[in-house]
This record gives sequence, C-alpha cells and structure tokens, in this order.
Amino acid sequence: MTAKNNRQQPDRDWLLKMADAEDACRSISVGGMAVDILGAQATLTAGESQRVFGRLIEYARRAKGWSVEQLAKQADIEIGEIVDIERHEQAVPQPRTVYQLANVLGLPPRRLVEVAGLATPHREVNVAALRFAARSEPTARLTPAEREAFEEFVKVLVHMSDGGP
Amino acid sequence: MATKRTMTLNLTDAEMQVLEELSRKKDLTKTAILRQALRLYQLLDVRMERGEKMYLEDESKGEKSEVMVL
Amino acid sequence: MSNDSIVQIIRRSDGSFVDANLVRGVKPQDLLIVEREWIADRTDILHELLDKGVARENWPQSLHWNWQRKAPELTLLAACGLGVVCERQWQGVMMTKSAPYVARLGADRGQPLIYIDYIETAPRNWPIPEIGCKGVFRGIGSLLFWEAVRQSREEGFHGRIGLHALPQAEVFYQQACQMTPLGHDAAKQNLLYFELSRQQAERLFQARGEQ
Repeated sequence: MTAKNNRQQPDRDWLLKMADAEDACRSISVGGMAVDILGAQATLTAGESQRVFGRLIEYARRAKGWSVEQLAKQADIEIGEIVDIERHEQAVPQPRTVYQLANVLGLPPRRLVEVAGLATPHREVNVAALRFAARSEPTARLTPAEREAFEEFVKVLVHMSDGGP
Repeated sequence: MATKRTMTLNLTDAEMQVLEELSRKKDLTKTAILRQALRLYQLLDVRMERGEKMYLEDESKGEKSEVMVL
Repeated sequence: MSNDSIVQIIRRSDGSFVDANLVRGVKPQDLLIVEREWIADRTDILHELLDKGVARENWPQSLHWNWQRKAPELTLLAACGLGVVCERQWQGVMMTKSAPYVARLGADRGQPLIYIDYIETAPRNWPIPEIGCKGVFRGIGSLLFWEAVRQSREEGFHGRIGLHALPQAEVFYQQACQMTPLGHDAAKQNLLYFELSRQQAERLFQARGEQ
C-alpha cells in the first residue's frame, strides 16, 4: 500500500468541496430504477395497488387459516382468480370479486375497492397501504410482525369506512 | 483490473486494415478496439438469447431494419 | 491480487477523514449483500417519511431501488461494479458500462465513453432533515464519480462520461461535476442526459493535479 501523504491535502480539499455540493442536493443518484416514484403523487401506482391488494387478500386468508381452495369456495370465486390476485398477476380484479372477497374476509368493501385500484383511494388509505407494503413480506405463515402490519392496515380501512363516504 | 493473459492473434491483411482504421477513428489502441468488440458481442449474444432482436434505425428516413446476428 | 485501494471519506459527526476501501470489481454476490445491508434502512426511512407526512416530491428519489435486481448485469464484460466499504459496511456502489455507449456531444460525437448506469450512496448516509436524519458519511458519491472518470481514462476513452441523472441530482452533475446537459431523454424515462467531454475531463484532471 503506497502512502499518499503528499497528495492527501489537495484530495481532501477536493472531497470537502464535492461533499458540500452533494449535500446541497437531495440525491446524487443516477439511473432509471427510481422511475416508479418519479413524478408520483402520494398515491399508489397501478403496480403498487396490485401488490398491496394481493398481499392484503393473502394475509386476510391466512389470518382465517384458510387455504386458497377454501377461500375460493367461501367467496364463490375461481381458484385461479385468487391465485392470480395473490401473485398480483391480474391487471385489475373484477368488482364482483372484490366485493365477494370483502364479504367473506370481513373487510370494508368500499375501502377494498380503493386498495384494488378500482376507485381513487383516500389519502389515509394510500399512506396505510404504503406502510403495509413496506412492512409485509410473503412467507408461508403470518409472523407476529406480519399480523401486526395486517391488523393495522385493516384498522385504517375499517375506521375510514365508519367515518367516511 | 483482473489478471490478464496473452493471446496471439492471426489476422488477414483486410482484417488488420479494418482494425487499424477503427483504432485511428475511435482513437483507441488496437487492443482496446478488440476488447470493445468482445464486450459488444457478448452483450448482443446475451440479449438475443433472451429473445430480443437488434434493429438499426435510419432516423432521417424513419426506417428500421433488423440485423441478424449468428 | 486485490485491485482495491484505500481512499478517504468524511465522517459527518466530527468532520474527520476516515480510511475506506475502494473496491474495484464488485461481484454479483456483493450486490446481494449491499441490498441486504441497505433494505432495513430504506424501510425505516420510508416509515419515517410516512409518519412525518413528508411530501412525496421531497423523498429521496432512489428510495425504492434494489441492487439485487442489478446483480446479473455484472456478469457482462462491459459492466463494472465499484463500491466503497468502511467500518465493514458498503457505503456506496456504482455500476458503469464500457459498451455500447458513445458520446453525443460535439467533437466527441461517436467516440466511446464510460456510461454510469447507476450510482447510489447507502441510505444511512443520506441527510434528510425532515425526519432528523443527519447521515453517517459524506463525499462517497463524488469519489465514485471520480473513479468513473479515471476508469474512462484507463480504458482509453479520455475521461468521457455519460449518465442520466435523477432530477434531484441534476444540479450536482451540472455544477459540481461540470458536465453538459443534453436534454431529456425519452428513451430513458425522460431523465436529463449529461456528458463529460474529453476536454472537460482534462480540465478536471488538471484541477486535481492528476496528469
């Protein structure tokens, strides 16, 4: 390893100056991966909606201890449709499907419609959905942390339903 | 940079001429030209294996033509 | 034989210069570790931003990035990963491409350049005043950018650089890095495209006393 003592001070001066310039900007990031949030308002994008809706349905089903088949039977929906929803491969779920799922899973139908991307969500629903998405991870069983995340999200949906239009 | 190995390359006169011309045009050493060629070839190969196609576009005419890579 | 070298970054708390390892030749598996280290901080920052009701346009624009998704690209000859490690954690990472990008600007038009595909400092280093985040280290982005310019010279591209900046970063690349903006690129999510020409790179080398 070569000592750089002679060059250290100019290097340090340069670094200080550049670091100040970096700090003056919120970010120095380069690249297109962040396009999901560029120009986005505090609303769920279509992709985010699908993910959150699918995750919520999956958690609600698992919270009841149901298999996909059991949910399909209870809600009178095709098994394939539930699988697509939970894997968020369906573009937008059918309104009937959303209402059926809300009924059997005990979720407020009008808020679930917003989460499904079928209606413009209220700000509180957006915020709760983003928080839920950040905290939830797909695993076989609901962990205590997942259950907590799920219950918090449902609380907001129910609260919004009680008070709102 | 990673450890390097040496290879002897036999080129025809025509190939050497092209190599020298590209080297002059791109202001790169002949070795750098060949490195770039290898990088490009691998990149194209990977993308075409994925099922992508390569096109060239003549912007002035608004025409696209497919380039076949074997 | 390691191609890594020792560089210095700045600790925010006391302004001291700290030795860090500049890693050349970041491997795909390193990016898996990078994201494993950074995902928790990203999530915490997201929670704080939501809790404090910070307007979306003020969120760090790379918050939702995921370097694991970029790992396979490092298997390409044209791709190069560089990173800074300090206190046994990744503090910043950059991916560059030596092909197939060429300069669009003036006298350099058609000549090869190093394209900075992605660059990001660790979320724990981001100063976000709205949520009381001061950040741990600073100067890492600049170090990585400078390494890209050096890489360009080593490749024989005379320091030429191209990149698409996120909106929050435009001022940094235009003013501090002295790059030329060439317009918003419809082919790249309308991000502003910047280039550093051979001439501009030479001036930067001279300013740094590197010739």
